[in-house]
Amino acid sequence: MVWMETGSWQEMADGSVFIRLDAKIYSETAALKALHEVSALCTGTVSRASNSVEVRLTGGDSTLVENFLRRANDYVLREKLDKQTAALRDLILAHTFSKTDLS
Amino acid sequence: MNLNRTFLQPEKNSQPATLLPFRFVPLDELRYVAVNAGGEHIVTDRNAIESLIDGKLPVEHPQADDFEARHFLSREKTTIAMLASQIRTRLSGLPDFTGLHMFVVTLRCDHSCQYCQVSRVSEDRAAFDMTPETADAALAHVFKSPSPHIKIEFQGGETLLNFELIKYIIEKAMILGANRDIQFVIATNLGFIDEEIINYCRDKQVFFSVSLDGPAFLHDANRPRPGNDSHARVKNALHRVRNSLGVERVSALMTTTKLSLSYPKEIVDEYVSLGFDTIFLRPLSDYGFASRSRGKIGYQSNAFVDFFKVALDRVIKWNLKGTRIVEAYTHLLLRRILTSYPTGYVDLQSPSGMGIGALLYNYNGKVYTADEGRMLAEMGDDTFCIGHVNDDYGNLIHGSNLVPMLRESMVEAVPMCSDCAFNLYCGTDPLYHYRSQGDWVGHRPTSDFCFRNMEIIKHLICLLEDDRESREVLMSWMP
Amino acid sequence: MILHSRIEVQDGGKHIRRVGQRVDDCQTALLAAGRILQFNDEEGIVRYIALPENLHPPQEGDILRIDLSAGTIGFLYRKASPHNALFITERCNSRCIMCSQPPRSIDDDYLIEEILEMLPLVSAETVEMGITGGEPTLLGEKLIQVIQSLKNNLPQTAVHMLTNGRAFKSQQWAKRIGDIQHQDLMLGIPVYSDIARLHDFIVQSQGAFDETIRGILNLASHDVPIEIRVVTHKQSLPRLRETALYIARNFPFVRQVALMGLELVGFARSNIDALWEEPCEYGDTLIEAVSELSCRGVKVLIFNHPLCVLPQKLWPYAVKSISDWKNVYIKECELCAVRERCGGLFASSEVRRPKGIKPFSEAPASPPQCPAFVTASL
Repeated sequence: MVWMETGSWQEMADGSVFIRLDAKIYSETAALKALHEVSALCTGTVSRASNSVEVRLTGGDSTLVENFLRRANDYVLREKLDKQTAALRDLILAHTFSKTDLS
Repeated sequence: MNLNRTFLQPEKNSQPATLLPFRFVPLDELRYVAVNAGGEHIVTDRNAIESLIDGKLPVEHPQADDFEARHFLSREKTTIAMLASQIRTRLSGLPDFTGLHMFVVTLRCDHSCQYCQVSRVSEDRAAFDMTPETADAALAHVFKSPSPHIKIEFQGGETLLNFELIKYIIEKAMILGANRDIQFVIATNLGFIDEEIINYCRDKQVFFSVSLDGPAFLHDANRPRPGNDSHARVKNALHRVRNSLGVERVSALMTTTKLSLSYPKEIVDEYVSLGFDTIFLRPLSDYGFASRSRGKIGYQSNAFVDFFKVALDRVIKWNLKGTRIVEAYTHLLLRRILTSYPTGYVDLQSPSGMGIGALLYNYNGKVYTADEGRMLAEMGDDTFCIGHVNDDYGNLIHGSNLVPMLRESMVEAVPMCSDCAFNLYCGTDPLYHYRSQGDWVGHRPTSDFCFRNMEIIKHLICLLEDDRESREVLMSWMP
Repeated sequence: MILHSRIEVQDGGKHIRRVGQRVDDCQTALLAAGRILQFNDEEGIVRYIALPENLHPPQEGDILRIDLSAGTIGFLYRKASPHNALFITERCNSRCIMCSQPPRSIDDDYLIEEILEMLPLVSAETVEMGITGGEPTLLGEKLIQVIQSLKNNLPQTAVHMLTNGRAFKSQQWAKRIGDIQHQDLMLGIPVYSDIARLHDFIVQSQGAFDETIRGILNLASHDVPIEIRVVTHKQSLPRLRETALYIARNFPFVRQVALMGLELVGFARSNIDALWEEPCEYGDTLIEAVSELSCRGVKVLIFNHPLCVLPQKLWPYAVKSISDWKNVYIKECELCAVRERCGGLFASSEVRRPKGIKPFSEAPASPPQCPAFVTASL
């Protein structure tokens, strides 16, 4: 899976999990949004290092890391999609709220 | 292909395809569901979504044509206009403004239901009945709404304890709204129905909405009254009312308590045996008395979702056997999933239908954005009161919390909702989130509202996708 | 009863006798029997014509076209028929692989001149009038005149025009039709697939799909009522359900969608092997397509399918769609209990009879209705 090549994680002595993600692939926003989605299960922080985005999660069970990473990967994909289609989304809304013809 | 030689064979796609905006979420362990800008969905897998976004979906992919036909990819200039027209249709109910107007004609009631937030077992008319003057002022607001379709719903307490005022309001509304399509609905337990009421309601085309929680043992446990005979009284009255007004003029409304959770099939069967063609599997609202007695009658959302699935399955089975009965929440969601037609249900749209879809005039003249707003008020929190019937109409709408509430709670802006594939199907419930989470935007990862709707929407999409028999039944309920 | 027609007399006109002669006693009897026609020619001279034996006797109110120089005679309009149509042109800008009226690139502008001349003579009681071709919109301004004339001369008459809709990619053109404000005009427009490439193949014209789609949207924006037509055959059936979904989601405003069986004449006959599917084998596909449309509130009709090859669930959607002059019931139909409800077959079906044509000895009970009160348990 993606995170095997692009990041690593380890369990810390205090029971929290430390995840290092490749900043070329993961934005801080993607990490933050993923953290927000799992915030019913754990608490956490996201910080930016030079080449990586670092995430620390506290609480949660053994499925937490996979759960978090799957969501982060989806947000990475959503960011790619939004980058390509944001202008079209605006165009569709502009059409929605205006009377236009097609010619 | 055996075409006559003078005909051309099919071409390859000549135009490169443009990627269109869409949203996606995991559907189950294996599959994803993607929804386009207009609300059309496709069940697929993550690989397909990733190739689509990377522009690497092979033309021979089994869903390549579907992605194009359902506007995830475009080769035609018309696509933008078609998507825009779908969104416009979805929002086309908004300009009509408030269509549902609820009048709390009294708080007095003969029942003392655990989950009821507001009712009083009392004889004190002066304290708990709406006055004709208050009704007059409220009616003036009703007809300030531009909506061509007005629904006036009488709420209680037990509404029939103040039938004189109901008559007064109906007579006045028919004069004031002579050029509109007006529908009257009385929410009642039918305990105080008599010939005079029946005859009047028959003549004025009034509808009844009756509380019915399930079979007698369950209904009577949920709805205590002196004599413990609520179910028997409903059943008896139902027969009389239908005989005079017709079956279609009486609908039933259920509330799911903790006790109900163990009896999904029995509840559905009770609705069928009493001849109802609609059942609305409604979760308990987390307000007022319901909140105080939560330990006794409340439950976790996943328990409700399990209940819902079993009950829906039972409903579908009845249809397959030839008895048509529709589950109303499913029907509402299907309409939002399968079509772009607008739906009027206040808690399942964005912006929320509070105020702009529904207004409630309380017995004491206070105006609320929704039924639950006055229930919260009984708990001492008047946040959802937007004024008094004697206030100016413009002031009610613009001089209150209403507009900020609507704006800030729109799914297009709420964290998680804004990225959610289902945000065109689902809606926002600022009051629910205020009540359960402390602010009207709320926190979706811990929201029961979010959990419940996500699970139910996914369940319906799976039924449509995987189970041909269920799909035929569900589609037969439409549009 | 007077005037014009262009039904060719196959045997070179040898039936036309005694044109312009006085009528003797014997001929008076034939005149009374409808076998001799009296009419005024362009100079106002009374003339008589003996009708070919194979011509249906004209009735009061019918309109004929008589071409003395070419020696041809035939009906332009039959008052008693519910299937009258104005045949505007043989030309077309598409070349559908199953076309039942293969287009010809000929100069037939005179057709529309005749139609304009004829319309004032048509009975005002006419219930419906079709406009067909070829592609009527190729006539441009003249077509507008025809619709305008229909509006003025036949204010009670519903008009149904078959067009590929491509001309209405121009918003201007769509507006011209909308601006006529005809009281009851519907355009029947074919959409054969939800995928441009496949539709373009079926109509044998690159870019046709995009033009038709734009046409439909433009017409809708001018409130012109639209019927969508889908012909069911081997090339359209694999995506029929998806096509139905596409129509329902993108054109929920259409008045109706017609799912139409093949008529085995013209190109449909020469391409039969690339087109033919047994109706009794694609019933499930039809059910899926019908339910995608009807669940979204779009009215669906099934044309050109006899009831015995349709699943009974679809019977409520089946209509008697085949025009009277090409409609047949075969030997099997004689004893059938549902013959009255059934649309029968095309005369051309003798080329290939659908499998499964069989009489019903009694009308099947309707599908189970939902009783209001049920006491049975599951």
